[in-house]
Amino acid sequence: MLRYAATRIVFAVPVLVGVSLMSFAIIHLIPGDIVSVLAGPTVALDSEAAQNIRRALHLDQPLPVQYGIWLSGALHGDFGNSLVMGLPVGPQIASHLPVTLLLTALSLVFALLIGLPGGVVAATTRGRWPDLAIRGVGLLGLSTPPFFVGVAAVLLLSIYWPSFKTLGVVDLHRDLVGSLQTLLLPAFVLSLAAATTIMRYTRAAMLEVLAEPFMATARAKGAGRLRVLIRHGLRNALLPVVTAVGVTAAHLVAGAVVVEQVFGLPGIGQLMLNAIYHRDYTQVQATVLVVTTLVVLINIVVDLSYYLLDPRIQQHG
Amino acid sequence: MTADITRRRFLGSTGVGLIGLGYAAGLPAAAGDETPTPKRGGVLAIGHDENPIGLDPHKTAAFSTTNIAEHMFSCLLRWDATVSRVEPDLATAWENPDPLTFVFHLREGVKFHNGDVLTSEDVKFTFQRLVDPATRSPWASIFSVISAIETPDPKTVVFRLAHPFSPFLNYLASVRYTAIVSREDVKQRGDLIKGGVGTGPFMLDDFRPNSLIRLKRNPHYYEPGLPYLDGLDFRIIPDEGSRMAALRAGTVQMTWLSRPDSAAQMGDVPDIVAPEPEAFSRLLLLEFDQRKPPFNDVRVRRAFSLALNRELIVKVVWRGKAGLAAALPPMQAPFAVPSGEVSGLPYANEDVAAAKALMTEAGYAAGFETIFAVSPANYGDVQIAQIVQQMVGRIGIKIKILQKEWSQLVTDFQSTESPISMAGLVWGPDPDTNISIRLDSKSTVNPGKTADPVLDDLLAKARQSYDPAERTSLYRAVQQRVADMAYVITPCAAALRWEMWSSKLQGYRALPSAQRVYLRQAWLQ
Repeated sequence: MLRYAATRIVFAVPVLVGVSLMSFAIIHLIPGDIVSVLAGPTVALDSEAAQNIRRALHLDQPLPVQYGIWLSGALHGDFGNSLVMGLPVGPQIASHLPVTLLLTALSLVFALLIGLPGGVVAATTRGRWPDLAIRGVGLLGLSTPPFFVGVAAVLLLSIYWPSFKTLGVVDLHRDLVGSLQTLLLPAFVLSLAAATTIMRYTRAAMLEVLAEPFMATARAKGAGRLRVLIRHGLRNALLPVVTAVGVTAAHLVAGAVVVEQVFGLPGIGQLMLNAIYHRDYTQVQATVLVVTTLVVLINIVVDLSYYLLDPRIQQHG
Repeated sequence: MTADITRRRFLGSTGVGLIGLGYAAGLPAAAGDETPTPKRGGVLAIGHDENPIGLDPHKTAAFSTTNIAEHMFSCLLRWDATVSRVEPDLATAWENPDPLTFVFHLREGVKFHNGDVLTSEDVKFTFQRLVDPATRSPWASIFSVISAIETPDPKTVVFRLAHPFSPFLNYLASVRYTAIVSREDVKQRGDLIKGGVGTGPFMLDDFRPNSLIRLKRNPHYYEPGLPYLDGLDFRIIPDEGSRMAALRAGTVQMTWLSRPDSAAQMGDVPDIVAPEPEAFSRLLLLEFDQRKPPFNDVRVRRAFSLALNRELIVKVVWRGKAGLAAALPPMQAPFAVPSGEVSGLPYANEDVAAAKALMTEAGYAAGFETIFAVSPANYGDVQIAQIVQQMVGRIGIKIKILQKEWSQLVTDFQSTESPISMAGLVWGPDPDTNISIRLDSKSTVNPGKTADPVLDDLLAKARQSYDPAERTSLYRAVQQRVADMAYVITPCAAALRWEMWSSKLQGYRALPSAQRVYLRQAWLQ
């Protein structure tokens, strides 16, 4: 298993380099200029002031040279300075990343808490009203974008439940409990689509498992209904669900960008959006790399979790 | 009082002129007298729409920075409540012995947030820093007009200008341009991106990017008893809907919105004060590429102007919350042609038949196709492009709208890539700020590539004249000329933002220039 894990991690390196190259190319391909952001529309882009800004930021160098400068820094763990703020990017990411991680983790918990029981109930009541209701609500959850649910939730809560903390300040170091409270609603909003996906996978897998002969055997042995469902049914249905959870978790990281914007959370998504908006090339590079690394890591964890759930996979590698 | 005489003369030069002298005495009282007794204490939470690009007031033109820096820093002068007249701030008096010399006398006992006393050396350093290429200030070129700064004693600063420059005092009253920084502080920190010390009513307590900027009361602020508030909390909430919700819920007690329909929704909410802006500070401006056909032909531009029904644009796009405008935003009184007088300008009234005749005369009876570049970043721009498309379609100009992302549009605008492009132009401290950079043939920006010696001459005279009445008539002539030659089309002007706050906040006054400087005398009930 260790060897497998090591292989996966080694293979992740070219993926990350590829992604950094692509994000570098894309952000430079987008027209527009950081100088216009720094200087505003009334300063000429070919004026001396603008040229000075460009020189100071190495933006007058050819693109491959700029990429080289960035890559050699990144390999040394130095992501450079934000072009807009002039501050090192590393500490910025370090302060924003935990918020995103916590938000994603919380919403994954929500998604599992909603999706798994939902899927099991839907499977056991197949075709009857609980199944239809769960699937109906699920479809709604999947098809309503989080920015809509988010704004609607904030607005409705602010009118009908003003004491609920909707847009508090998130500061994990100084006020962890308050921050967690503030993160509950965004995490719930973010989890809706993921919960539906997990519910659907669970339902499908459960339906398959429920038809297996060993389920009948288990019941014949006299095991309780719940025990049959959880121990024999869900456990065996989990493998495809875990895959779905992995994919969903990756989606959550992406969805966090939107939710952070709506709820004003100081996460990596905000950092990335601002960076793209301001054409802050170094910051875009670094944040994209961090988010990609997260997704790659999640995928590795998902792969490894197969081992724990189904030892047979170990033998085949 | 000699100071008062010179002051009056220069107050006049900033815009108010004869009218301003009339109501000068009544205004300062308006902000404080009619309200109940101020109360000390309390922290005001403000929903801020964008993470600031650092807190160094000299390094960026971004409003996201200025709107925080304006509480931390002060300038030699400041604006009065009408934003058309400067009044003393760090300088208590000033003289102008000749057109090239300005002498400022600094206020006694002003301290920076670190306790250091403000001296003339700090003022000198501030302007040296602004023009230093290493600072990368967007305004470096403006202050290159200063040829020398002398500091005969710690409380006196003498500026020597290379040529007469009448906008000078107005720039000295705007934190966005000339925030006075401490020489020692800048030397210690290198730059002020993470914050620094100023002389403003509030000082930096905490800066957490993308989350919170916390300012606390400056106990040494020079105005006795002010500010009343213990602090300001700027919460970064980029989403407009979320900011509205936060204000309703009381998470923040103040915010602003950029869409008239959002603002209209908040108008009915109890305990929220949502006044209509007093004057329109954001000018919508349509530029033509005048180097190439068809828009190098004045007849085509005039036809374009005649094809527009400006009242309809105001009604449809802005729900009536906008006004007509000439080439200056209407709030730039008295220089700007007031909204009510715009229809008196040439080619400002809809006349499709005359427009068609002009098109035929110019050889475009069959019309032509062209491209209109616009950015969806600001409310109104795309909507105006769409309605303009319909209107000029009637005279055969077939517009293809090209939506661009904002920073791309700025680039495009300056390199004059598209035959027509539009951007908003926001109030600047002096009429010269915006109009010269766009229409002077010597300007490096000049998006339409206008090259008109008559206009250049008028602009140069207005820039050098210290006589307010003369300046006003010169800028009126400029606007007349621009309308007549249809160098730019100004469909309308609107508010930059709609400010709103909880009714618990008292003593506050919103300025159409979107400066929140009056928080220094506001309190929470």
